[in-house]
Amino acid sequence: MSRLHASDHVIVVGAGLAGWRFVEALRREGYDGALTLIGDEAHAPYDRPPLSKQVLAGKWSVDQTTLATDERLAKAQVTLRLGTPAINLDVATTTVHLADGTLVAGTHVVIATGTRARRLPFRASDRIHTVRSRDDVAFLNHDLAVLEPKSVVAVIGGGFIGAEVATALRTRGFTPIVLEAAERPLVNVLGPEVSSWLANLPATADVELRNGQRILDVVETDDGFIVSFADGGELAPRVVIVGAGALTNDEWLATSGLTIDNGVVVNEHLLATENVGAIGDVARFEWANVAGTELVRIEHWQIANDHAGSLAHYWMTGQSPTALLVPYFWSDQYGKKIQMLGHPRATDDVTRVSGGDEEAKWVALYSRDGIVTGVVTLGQPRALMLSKVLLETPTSLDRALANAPWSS
Amino acid sequence: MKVVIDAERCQGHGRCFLAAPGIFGFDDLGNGVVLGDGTLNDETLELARLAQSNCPEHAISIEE
Repeated sequence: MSRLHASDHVIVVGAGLAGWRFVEALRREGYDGALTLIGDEAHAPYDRPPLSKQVLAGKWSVDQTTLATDERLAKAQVTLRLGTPAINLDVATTTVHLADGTLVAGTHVVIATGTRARRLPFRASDRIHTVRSRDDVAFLNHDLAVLEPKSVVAVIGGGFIGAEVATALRTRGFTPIVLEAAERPLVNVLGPEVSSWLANLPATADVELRNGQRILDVVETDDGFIVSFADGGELAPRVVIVGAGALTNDEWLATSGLTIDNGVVVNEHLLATENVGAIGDVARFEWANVAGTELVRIEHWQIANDHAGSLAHYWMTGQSPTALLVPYFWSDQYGKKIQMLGHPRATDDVTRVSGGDEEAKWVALYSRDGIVTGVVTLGQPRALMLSKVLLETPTSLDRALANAPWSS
Repeated sequence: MKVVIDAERCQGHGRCFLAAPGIFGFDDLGNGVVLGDGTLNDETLELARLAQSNCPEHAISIEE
C-alpha cells in the first residue's frame, strides 16, 4: 500500500463529523501535505447530535455545536470548499467535480458525505420540517417562534429523532403529538421485547404517543396543517416535523465505478480502492465483531469518529486497529437516556439482567446463537460502560450472566 | 496543562474513560471524572485530546 507523503493531496468530501475528524486525525498522525475539505453546507463543520437535543430545547445556542473553530481550522491547515456539493468523482485520477464547475485533483479521496433526512411524499412536503442540519433547526425555530404556548406540533415517526424532538418541544411548552406507524416505536430496531419496556416513557414526560398511525396525506391550511389518516381521522397541528430515517448521500458517485449498495462499499480498512476510502454514515464496511464479519452501515456518531481515526492511521502507517470496533449509540428521550453497545438485531434473543420498567432503569443483553451481541441500558451509564468487555471478545451468554460485569 | 470535565455537561457516555483510562475514571453513576489533579505531560496530552474529541457532550476542556 502507498503511505501518505508531504507531496500528496488528500481531498475529504463531506464536512460533517466524519470528514472533520479525519482532517484532525490526519494532522495528529503527522501528515504535512495538502488537505482540502469539501462540504455542501455553508457552515464550517459542526456537531449534529445536540441539534435535536440541547439546541432544540433552547439550552445551547447553535454556535455551541461548532467543531471547526477558527483556531482549530488554522491549526489544521486545511483548504475549505464550503457550500459547494461534489457531483462526481473520477476514481482513476482522484479528481472531484464540484457543482460550481471546478475540479479538485488530488492523490487520495475520502468519501464522508453522510446521510440526509428522508422526506415523505405528502402534498405539504416542502413545509414539513426535518431536524438534520443547522439550517433545518433555524427554519423550524422560525416557524415555532410565532406559535402560542401549548400549540399542537405533529411529529411523524416515533424513533430516536422523533422522540428527542418531541421531548425538546414539550420542555418548550408546546404540545407534541408523536405519530408512529408501527405498533410501537423502535420495534424494528430494539425488537418487540425491549421496545415494549419503553412504551410508557412518553406518558411519563407528558407527551402523547399514537401508535399504528397510517397517514394518507398532509396538506397546508391558512394557519397550519391537516394530517389525514387511513382510518378517516384527522389532526390539525400548527407545525409538522418528520423523523423517518435517513438516506445515503451517494448519488454523486453513481457513475464513478465504485460499488454503491446501501452506501459506499469498502473493505476492512475502509478502502474502496487503494486511494479512495469511505467513512461514517455513508460507508458500508466490513465489520469484524464477536459474531463474525459482516458488511454493515452504522449511522452512529462514534462510528464516524472511530472511522476517521482508523483510516488516517492506516494511510499514515499501514496499520488498522487490532481491537474489535464496538459501536456505541445513545438517545436522550422523554427525560431518560438509552445507551447501546454493539449492533444487535431486532431478532436477537433478549435477557434482562437488572432493573424493570417501573423504575425506568434496566440492563438488557442481546445474544445470537448463545453469544452476546449487544448491551442496551436505560438510565444505567455505569453498567453499560462496565459491560463493554462482553463485546471485545466473543462471550457466551452463560459466561456473561455468571460474571455480570455490569454490576461490578 | 490541565484537563477538566464539566460535570454539568457530562452525561455518562464513558468515552473518555475508554479512550484514556489512565487519565479518566467514572463515578458511581457512570459520569466521567479526572483522576488526580489532571495535569498533563506531552504523552498524556495526546490521549486527553483523543478523549476530548470523543466526548459527545463537549464536556472536556484542556487548559493551556
